[in-house]
Amino acid sequence: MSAPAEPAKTDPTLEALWLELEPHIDWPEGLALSVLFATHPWAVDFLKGRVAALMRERGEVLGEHVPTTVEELRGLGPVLETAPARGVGAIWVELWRGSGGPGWDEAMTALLRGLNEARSKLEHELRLPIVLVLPLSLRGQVFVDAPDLWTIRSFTADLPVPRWGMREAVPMAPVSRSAHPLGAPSPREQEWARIYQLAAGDPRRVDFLAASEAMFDALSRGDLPTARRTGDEVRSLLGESRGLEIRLGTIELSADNLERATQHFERALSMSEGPAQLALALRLIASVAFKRGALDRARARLEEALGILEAALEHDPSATALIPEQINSLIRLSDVELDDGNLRQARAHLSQALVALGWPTPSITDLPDTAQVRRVLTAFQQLEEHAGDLARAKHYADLLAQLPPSAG
Amino acid sequence: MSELRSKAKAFYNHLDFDKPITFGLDQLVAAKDAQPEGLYVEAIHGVDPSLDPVVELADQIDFSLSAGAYLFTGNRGTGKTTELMRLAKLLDGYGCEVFYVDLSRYLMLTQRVEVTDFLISVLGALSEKVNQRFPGTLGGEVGKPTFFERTWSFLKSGVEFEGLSLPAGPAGLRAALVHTPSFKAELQKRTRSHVQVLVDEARGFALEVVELVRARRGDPDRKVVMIVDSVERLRGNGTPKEVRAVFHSAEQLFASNAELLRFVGLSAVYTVPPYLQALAGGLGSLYAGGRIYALPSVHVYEGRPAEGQPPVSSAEGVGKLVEIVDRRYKWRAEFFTEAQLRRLAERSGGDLRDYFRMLRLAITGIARRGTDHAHAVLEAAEDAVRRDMLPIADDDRAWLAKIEHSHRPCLPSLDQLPEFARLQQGKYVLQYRNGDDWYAVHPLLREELGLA
Repeated sequence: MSAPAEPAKTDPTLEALWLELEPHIDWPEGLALSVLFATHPWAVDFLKGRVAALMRERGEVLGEHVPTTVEELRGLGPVLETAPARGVGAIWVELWRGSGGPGWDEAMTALLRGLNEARSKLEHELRLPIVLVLPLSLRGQVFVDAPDLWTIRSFTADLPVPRWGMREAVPMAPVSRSAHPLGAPSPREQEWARIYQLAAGDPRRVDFLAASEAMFDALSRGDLPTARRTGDEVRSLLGESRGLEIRLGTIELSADNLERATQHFERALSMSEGPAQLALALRLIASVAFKRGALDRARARLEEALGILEAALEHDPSATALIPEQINSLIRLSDVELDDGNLRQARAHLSQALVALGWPTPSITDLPDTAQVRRVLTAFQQLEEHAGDLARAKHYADLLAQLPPSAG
Repeated sequence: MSELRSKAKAFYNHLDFDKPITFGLDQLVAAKDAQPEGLYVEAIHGVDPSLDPVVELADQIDFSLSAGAYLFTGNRGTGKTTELMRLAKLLDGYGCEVFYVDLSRYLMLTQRVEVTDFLISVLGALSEKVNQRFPGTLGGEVGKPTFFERTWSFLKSGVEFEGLSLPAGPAGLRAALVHTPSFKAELQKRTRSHVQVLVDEARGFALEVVELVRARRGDPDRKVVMIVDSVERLRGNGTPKEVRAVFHSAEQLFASNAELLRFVGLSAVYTVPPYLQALAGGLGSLYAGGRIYALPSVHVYEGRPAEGQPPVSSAEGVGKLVEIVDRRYKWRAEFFTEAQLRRLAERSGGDLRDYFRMLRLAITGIARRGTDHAHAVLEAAEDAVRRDMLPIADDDRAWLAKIEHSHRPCLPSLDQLPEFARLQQGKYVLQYRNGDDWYAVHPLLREELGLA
């Protein structure tokens, strides 16, 4: 996410345009797609600044995606289909500033097709306003490339270009900061109880996140029945969901109810889409099998997860967001092998994790994702301690000491 | 926030068209993704109840002793999923066990489709729905294998996959069918000589599902119906050659493989692209019911006009569209008069999405400018929707004029089918079915085309 655009100079045309666009960003309680056609950054920057300011005022942030290379463009589809980070109130996607170089048009068409395919996901899972800025040249083509997406648009506009005399325009009016920051610090379980009562059976008014946090807190107090009851309440309001099943499975797993945990994770798997979701669900199922001592079953599930991730990364090497899950699966698979007495295999999986992170490099500190490197080295150190090879364990401890301090 | 703006915001959100009305069928579509039943206006697609295609289809399934495969179609924006839910509700009332599958979540629909990948996706999806309703019956550690698991095992042992890596497991197979075009294409190629094996697997699995449902329900006669939605989104993108290839594959799938899409014991309702109706009229005759059950645009016109005559507005049909708004927001009179709503309804041509889009644009305009400017706001909303369809190429203009004159597709040849589909999906042409199947150009374009 980049910083909001510089405040732009404006004129009455832009102000009028913003007044038309603003309700389609500020009002929707679900997906609302605005498609803007641009040839010049003047209006684009102005509107982006206004949308970002509106988000700040609401205590939220704007999820910005402005790919400038073909690689970035290719990697954008899966990112947009994934649930955004907490606090993101709207998504801004600019596809008109790109390189225009070889492969750009094909990648753009592929992205639009992909988003078109993902229409249901955008409607039912993303559930946020999206502003899609396209080149004006696509005006007559977008309904062919993305007919389903085009069908659900709320607002469209051809953005104006600056007129002579713009230098005399007035600066954009300052926008007030929010007085209500994100995540009000009231006790989370009470907050969920309040929301549930107010919802009165209307699922549109319910936020799964509040329930998820309440479940976590209940579990932290050791109150498993309350955590389960909260899960039942969520299901009664929102129906089945992958996220809920994962949360409930995790709760049951931590309470050692392995049968129940497996059922939840299997259901999450059946609702999973895309490599990251599938791999996560498979790894969780493997974790339960591992805890049960069913090492072959755990191994098979983890190998399946890794196969999915490797195929996705091979197909799209820029999908680096998948690497953390790959590391998780490899570390877990190493645990399985260690438990099964296959020390060499256990080491091989951790080595593979380091390679996935970019190893070899001249120094361990050259690897960019320090947090993941730390996890793998820690796993290595523990493995060697477990195997009784203290010299090797010390070697990894030394490497860990070279890493910059952890941020958290 | 001013009171008007606050109400406008509520009104705007009550015109949510993303969620179908599910008639309380939470087991098919989660409540959070559904609208309440009270919003449904009866008979919006056919003023004459005897022509209601949903009732006809439900009756056909109910009356048939054996299971069949049925085709259902409708343009974008006609409320297909809501009508499929109504179908499910009727069938539920007749004692059927209904499963609903949104195929767009299981199969890439912008690529050629063949019977093998289609069956794998459809029955794989059914496995998941069955397991959700009857946990533990399919998949996992104790259930019978899901269709994805069976297919994956079959592909692993029975199909040569040289040079192509088969996904590492069933979950990977499921994902690859949606996300990996190269895999899907290779799968089609490699399984062409194994079609019958897969069909047999599919039929065996379908019957197992039926037996499982009947055992679970304690009802040996229970009918089991699978509704497969979103298949109508099958269409090509890219070069004209690619576009034609997908059109041709859809035609092949439903015309040449009709027998393979039927299952013993399990009735299937497939939504198909509306352009398939323009194909050889015999397609419907290959399926149960002997026809394609078509959901037209809302009947804002009286029946098919005589050649050369414009359509005549239907007060009753337009009134249905006004009623839809009244059901969704009871204070709508603070924004629009009935006459204003009727005007927008007529200008939408009965396309619900365009109707809602214009309403939403008008609501934001009134919140900004006040109700005194309603007339200008409505014109601006109509202009905005019209602008999205402009400019119109000269050859399209000529074709649209012909369609408006004859109220037929006026397809010069079947090669032009993709072009006709483009005009339909862009809403340039709307389809009606009161009394007869007929077509009209979008009313917002009449002036632009010199037809007003």
